Amino acid sequence: MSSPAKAKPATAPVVFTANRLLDGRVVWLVAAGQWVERVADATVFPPEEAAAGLALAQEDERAQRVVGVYGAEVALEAGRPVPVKFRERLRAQGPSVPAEPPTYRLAS
Amino acid sequence: MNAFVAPIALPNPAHPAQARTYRYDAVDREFLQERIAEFSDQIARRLRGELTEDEFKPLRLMNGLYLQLHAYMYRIAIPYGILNATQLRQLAMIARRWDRGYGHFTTRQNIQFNWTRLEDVPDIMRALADVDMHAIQTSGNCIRNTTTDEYAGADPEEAADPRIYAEIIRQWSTLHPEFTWLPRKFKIAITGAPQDRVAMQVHDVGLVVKRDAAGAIGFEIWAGGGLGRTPVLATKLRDWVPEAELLAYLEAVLRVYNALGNRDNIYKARIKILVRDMGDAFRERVEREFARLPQRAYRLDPEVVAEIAAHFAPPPFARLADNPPAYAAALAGNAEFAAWAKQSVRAHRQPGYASVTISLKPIGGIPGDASAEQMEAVARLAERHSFGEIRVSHVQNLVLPHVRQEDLPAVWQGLREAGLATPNIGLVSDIIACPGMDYCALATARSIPVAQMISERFADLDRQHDIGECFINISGCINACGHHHVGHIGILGVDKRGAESYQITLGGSATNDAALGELVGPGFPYDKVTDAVETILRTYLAERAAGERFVDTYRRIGLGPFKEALYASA
Repeated sequence: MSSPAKAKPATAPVVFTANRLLDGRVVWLVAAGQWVERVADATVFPPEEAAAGLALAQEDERAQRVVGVYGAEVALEAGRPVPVKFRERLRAQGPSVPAEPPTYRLAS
Repeated sequence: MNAFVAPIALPNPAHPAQARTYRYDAVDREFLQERIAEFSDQIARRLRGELTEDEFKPLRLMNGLYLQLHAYMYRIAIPYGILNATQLRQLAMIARRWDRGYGHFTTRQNIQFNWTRLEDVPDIMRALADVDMHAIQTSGNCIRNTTTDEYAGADPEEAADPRIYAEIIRQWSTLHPEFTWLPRKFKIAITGAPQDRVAMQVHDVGLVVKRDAAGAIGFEIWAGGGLGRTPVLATKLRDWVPEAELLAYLEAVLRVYNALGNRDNIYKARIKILVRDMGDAFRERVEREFARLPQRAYRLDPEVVAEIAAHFAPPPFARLADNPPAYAAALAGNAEFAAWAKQSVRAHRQPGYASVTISLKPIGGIPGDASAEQMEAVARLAERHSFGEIRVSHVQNLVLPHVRQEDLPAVWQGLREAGLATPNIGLVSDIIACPGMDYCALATARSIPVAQMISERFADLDRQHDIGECFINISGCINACGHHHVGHIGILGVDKRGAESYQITLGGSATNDAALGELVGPGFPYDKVTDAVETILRTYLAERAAGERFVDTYRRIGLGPFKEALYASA
């Protein structure tokens, strides 16, 4: 993105995400130096703390742990963050198609 | 490797003796080892934190390594879409050992792996080099993999073999020092057949190899075609460039583009914009540049051409007759085999042989994906039945180019066991689709599940045959990697206020009658796009005259009836 959080002040709660340097996997910020693979476990920053959250995330980018930090707006469902934008939900969930070797049937 | 160097024939265990592919020489192999050492060191420095992402990104891109939505993606070059069995088996090994057991064949006849770990890349590079492969110039603003006809050397109507010139262009363009940082990426396609199967007119440069009345080789040269945000059909620059002058002319085209192409605005940086804006002045500049180039330095020596041509000499075909009894009996006695043969088996220039197109579009599958086991099955079949050769087509299928007709039942059986015998080549479920938002960081909507839904909707083969030839191309963003502009039915996924929306174009074509599709109207939401395609095809079936393909009917009746059917109830 080219994050909304970077570009303009957040108006909704945000989580911070990036790709892990070693394998490129999508990760979500919990605390300084701590990233997890499940968005549900990410720390949610209220709009007024988004700038501080971004600074925390960028420290890990400078430390070369993660790549491409940005903020993603979330809604809280059962107390857990769920990204608002479709693209971010897809990043959180993985591809919507099987990411495994094809097993197919023949056409009828 | 970085200049045009006459190849030295060396024994190479990476190449089965009979397979007709490019040959690395000692210089190529030495360079590749140097590049592996260099990029491995850059990766190590990146992992140690000594290189920032800004510093590392251009280095990894020049080596084919992207960072996509969920992981790194590694795009491996398959020069002009030609593989031998050893190479395909090695790709299967890489898929299994360092990825998730599958790979994705692309519209540039390459393969990409979606789940690469940065730390594994040096090992993968070494495994590729063991079979004379690499991932260099599969990204970046350089000359990318030249694509060609998947039936090259087998097509009965071919005027001249485009592989020879694709190989010459590969050697000329690889690490060309002047063209490593072009204004934007640059794609060349070359065909030697009267039927364009390479989408020549939507490439930065399109080449047609021809013969004159005396049998001499020359090239028709087109430039300025492209898809993406601003689709443009190519302009013919020259009807005839003699073989000896091919590299000089290409050099002139690239020099003019390199000098005058827009470097300030990425959306206006491709050569198509320059050619469109300059009109005839572009051709004049190219001719002036061509005239002032030292022709001797660029002259394509007939001995060099002959030496490369020897690598693509016909394999040791047996003297056979067409329609052998075993093939005829299978066609008559096995309806399933006959249905497959009708779509997948193609006439060959050598009597008694055929080319087999292998569908990587099983019903409900992901277009272009193949598992490691499937790659190994194809490699095995190629060794047994096709002189160890495999081709990748730009429509994301594979080809066994030289199969004895008497072996076709056995090949079909082998493909069937590997789930690779879907008889849908050229039909509505033979869909081109880019990775879309399921994998690609640039995408604005998903492509793959749309292709899967359409494929499922039209799963019934009788229905597909009734509809006949119809190419559906799907892109997940305006960059058009799924070639939607030139699909008979083109589908473009965009983001519309946070939701996926799919615009449909009709009447595109990527072949001799190249055309850009026309937008039919407002977009459709994700869950309505398959219904829209069905409405379009029902309209075609209702309107078509005898013998008309979808695109013929569209050209006769225009957008109106389709628009009316799609939006009447809105």
